[in-house]
Amino acid sequence: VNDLPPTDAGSPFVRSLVQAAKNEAPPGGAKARALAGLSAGGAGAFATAAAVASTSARGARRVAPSLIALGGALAMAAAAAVFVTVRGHAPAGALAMATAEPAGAKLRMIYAAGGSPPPDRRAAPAAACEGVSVEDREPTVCSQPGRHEPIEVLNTCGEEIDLYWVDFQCRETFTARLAPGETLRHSTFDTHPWRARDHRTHRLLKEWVGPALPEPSTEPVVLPDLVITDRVLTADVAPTACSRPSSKASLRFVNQRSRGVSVVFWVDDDCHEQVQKRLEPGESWTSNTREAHAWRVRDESGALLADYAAEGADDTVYVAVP
Amino acid sequence: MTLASPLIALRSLAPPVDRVRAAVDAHYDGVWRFLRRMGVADRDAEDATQQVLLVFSQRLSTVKAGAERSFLFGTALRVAADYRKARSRQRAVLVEDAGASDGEHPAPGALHALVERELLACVDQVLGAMPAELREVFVLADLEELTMAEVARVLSIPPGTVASRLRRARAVFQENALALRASFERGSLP
Repeated sequence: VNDLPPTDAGSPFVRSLVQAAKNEAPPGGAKARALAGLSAGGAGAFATAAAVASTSARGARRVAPSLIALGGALAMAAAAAVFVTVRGHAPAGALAMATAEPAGAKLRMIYAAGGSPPPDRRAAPAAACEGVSVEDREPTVCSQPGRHEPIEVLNTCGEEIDLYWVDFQCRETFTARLAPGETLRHSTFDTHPWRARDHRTHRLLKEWVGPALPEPSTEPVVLPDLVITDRVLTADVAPTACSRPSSKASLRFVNQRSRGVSVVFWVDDDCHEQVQKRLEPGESWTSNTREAHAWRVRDESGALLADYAAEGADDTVYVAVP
Repeated sequence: MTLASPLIALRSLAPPVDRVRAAVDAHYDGVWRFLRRMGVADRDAEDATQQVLLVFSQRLSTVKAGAERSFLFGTALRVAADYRKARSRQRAVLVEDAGASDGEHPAPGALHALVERELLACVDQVLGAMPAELREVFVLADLEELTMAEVARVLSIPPGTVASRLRRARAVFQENALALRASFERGSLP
């Protein structure tokens, strides 16, 4: 590598670009805010403290809560829609991941493709939230142990909003800031309260607690067989449908190819293909999976033979703010 | 036993808070810059860096002493990828906050007057035009000055691949930068 020609050879402009990139520094106080999280004590507390530090960094524009309370008469957001889609039960494996939530851990600013709001809810962020607020009291409903559920919060306001999880001591814990139209997928519990505030004014726009989910089905859904043939799919683009939380299911792969090896890939919740199984000609394999998990099958040369994505099934609870 | 071994042993015994603090102190700027270079908007870079640090603090016990930088940059790579995926859903542009003052570009012959902010906007533009696999290697190796082994670890690719990608990345960066400069001199942007 040392023998490679350096980037900046011969061009002052290129050199100046490289130098500018190397010199760029975070805004003043950013590192201090991150370090401030440590003063809360203990590495375990760091996650929460860092999130709080990040919040307070932006909190200079906050309005005193008492002033906000005066505006509580404009309680328009009470009628705001909460879109709920509940199917079955979340995967058991997800529970362990969600236990880190009190530390603000399960913050994922991503859109697993299938987990984004259905098209009819992906409205442009046009709704004005100026007149929207709910009475801003100290939280009286705290988080309690409950059942895991994934939620997806969509900011339909024309302004940035801040999302707060109300913890087990009824304290608001900053979780994320959402730009207009932005969505947050988050792992939570059906007994955990959440609050959404206008980022600029800190006005309370909405609060909600996850809906009670029905008891999970004990019987897995049997999905139609996925039949693998020699036919190669012409379109082999990166997966756009990722796996989503959903009910237990079983899916049988039936390899009808007469020669060659077929490789089954699970498309994970980040839309990455993960090798799962190698199928010989004529072999079948049943996967104990989830209803809304995505799969792909490729032949020995990597050509795409099957691209499977279930439609509809999704445990995610969708919340629109306001 | 080399001198480094007991030091590493001591570091691995350091209280977790100290390890996180040391990592923040040593690598915060680099992680923040890397996120910016990988397409995270200026206004979101601090949050994204916090997210990286949260992951680091939660997985501290799994990070080997001495591998903090690789872990942080590897995590930042994924955070940036998730961020871009999310932003692309909203049709946001990669370098929306690059700072070149909303369509105002330097007049011909005025390159010498480019201020730092405008240079950074150029950096974002040049990097944004590079394929992701080349940009990652270039930023890690040439801008953040990670070692070849660290880059290989961060990207989970062999060192040989790092070298070949870096060679191509340098060429592409230079080519893009010179094209941008030429466009300035013509008075227009590509």
